[in-house]
Parts: sequence; C-alpha cells; structure tokens
Amino acid sequence: MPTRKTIILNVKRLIYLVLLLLVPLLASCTVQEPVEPVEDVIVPPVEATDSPPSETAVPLPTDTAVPPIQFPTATPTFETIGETAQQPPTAEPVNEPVPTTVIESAVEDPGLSQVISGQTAEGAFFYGNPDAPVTLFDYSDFL
Amino acid sequence: MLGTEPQVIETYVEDGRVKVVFWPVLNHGNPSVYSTVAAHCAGAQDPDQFWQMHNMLFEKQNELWSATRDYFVNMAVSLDLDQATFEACYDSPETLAGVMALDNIRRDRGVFGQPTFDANGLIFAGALPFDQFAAALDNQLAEAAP
Repeated sequence: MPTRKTIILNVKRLIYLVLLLLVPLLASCTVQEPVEPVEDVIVPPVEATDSPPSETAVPLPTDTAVPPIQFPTATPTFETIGETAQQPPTAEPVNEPVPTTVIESAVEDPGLSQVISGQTAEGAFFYGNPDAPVTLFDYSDFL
Repeated sequence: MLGTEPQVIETYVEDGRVKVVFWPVLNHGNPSVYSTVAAHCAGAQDPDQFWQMHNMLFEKQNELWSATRDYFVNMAVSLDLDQATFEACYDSPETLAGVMALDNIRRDRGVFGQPTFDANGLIFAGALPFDQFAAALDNQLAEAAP
C-alpha cells in the first residue's frame, strides 16, 4: 500500500511528465500561432478592400494612367493644325495684318495649298489660301 | 465685281498664290445693305455659301434694287440653306451691325468708290480688264517672293 508521501510524489512526477510533454506542445503551438495570425492579417485586408479601401486603390491607378494617355494625343493635334496651317508659307512678313482666318475648313484640309473659304477677323469673307503671299481686297457693292 | 473675278480666281487663287477678300461697299442704301446682309447670312451657315450667294447676287444685280426680305429668303432656299437659320440671321441686329462695321472700316481706309482693289497695298480702281489685273498681281507676287 503506497503511502501518502509516495502518492504525492507520483502525482508530482506525473505532473512533471505532463509538463514536459506540454512544454514542447505549447512551444509548437506558439510557433504555429504566428502563422495563423498572418493568415488572419491577410484575410481582413482582402475583405476590407471590397468596401472602403477600394476607393483609395482604384483612383490612384486611374489617375496616373489617364493623363499620360490624354495629354499626348490632345496636344499634338492642336499644335499641328495651328502650325501647319499658318507657318509654312510665311505670309506674315508680306504685309497683311488684316485677314486673320477663323475657319473650320482649314482643319479639314491639311494639304499644302489650302484654298478655302473663310472670314477675316473683321468678318469679311475671303477665298483662297489663308497664307497666300498676296491678298487682293475687292471693295465692291452687289449693286 | 464679278467680271474678271472668275479668271482671277482660276489663275491666281486656286493655286494658292492669291487670296481674295470681298469687302462690302454700301453706297446704294438699303438695297446694298440687305444684299450684303443676305450674303453674310449665307456665309454664316457655310463660308462657301457666301461665295455662292455672292455670285447669285451679282448675276441678279438688276433685281436687287427692289429686292425684299422674301426675295433673299427664296435665294437662300435655292442654295439649300436652312431657311429658319437664314431668317434669324437676316433679322438679327448683330448681322446688320457687322455689315455696317465693315463699311465703316473701308471708309477709314480711304475707299469710297467701287469697285476698288488693293493687292498688297497696290490700289487700283474700276473694273479693269484681266490683263491689267494679271500685271498688277504678277508684280505684287514678285515683290512678295522671298
């Protein structure tokens, strides 16, 4: 018959053994625990991006993507229309400040010799190449 | 001026060397004013139509003395212009003011008789034969050449 003392001793040993077994288990658990939180950390952001963060995520890419596409296409077309229509023939030095053209037809015909109908800055109608070296003013009455 | 204009256009304008600007000289009262208003309203719809109306007005020059609003509207319709737009333009005080402003500018430039021509500062008056036009334009083109 075991004495009370031996029983207590055996219980202590048992507890010690259990502790010995539990410590590694707990240690392994503490190693695994960080892994689980990582997964938890990943999951919440995914859920969160569905609602509020999507506002910050979507605008940034579109904001940076749109301007580079639009600016290059818009600017050159305006410049080429204005410059090709006015510069080549060098009509300015000739001596006409009067007929400044404001015509849609000029945009449609980007050819070298543009013969178009249009209006001067004052509102008189002209016909011919806006950059022609000679301007012939016809002061007339229909009557 | 319609006389030599087609020849001038064919010879000097179509190849891009000369640009013709029609500047109204309103020396004959309302018939002058409203003929020009009609031409400008045609041009307001399409600048090419100004020249169509311009040609038609010169061709029917004798009828313009007694031309009414309806006369010009019918002209516009015959050119396939939008009637309502033409009428609104014809009745607009802005159109009248614009035409009168051009007339004032030519006075300020010292132009009083018609037709008067100004080719890069070389001014000649009266309906000249094409040869004289050609000589004047050739001279100005040579001067303008770089």
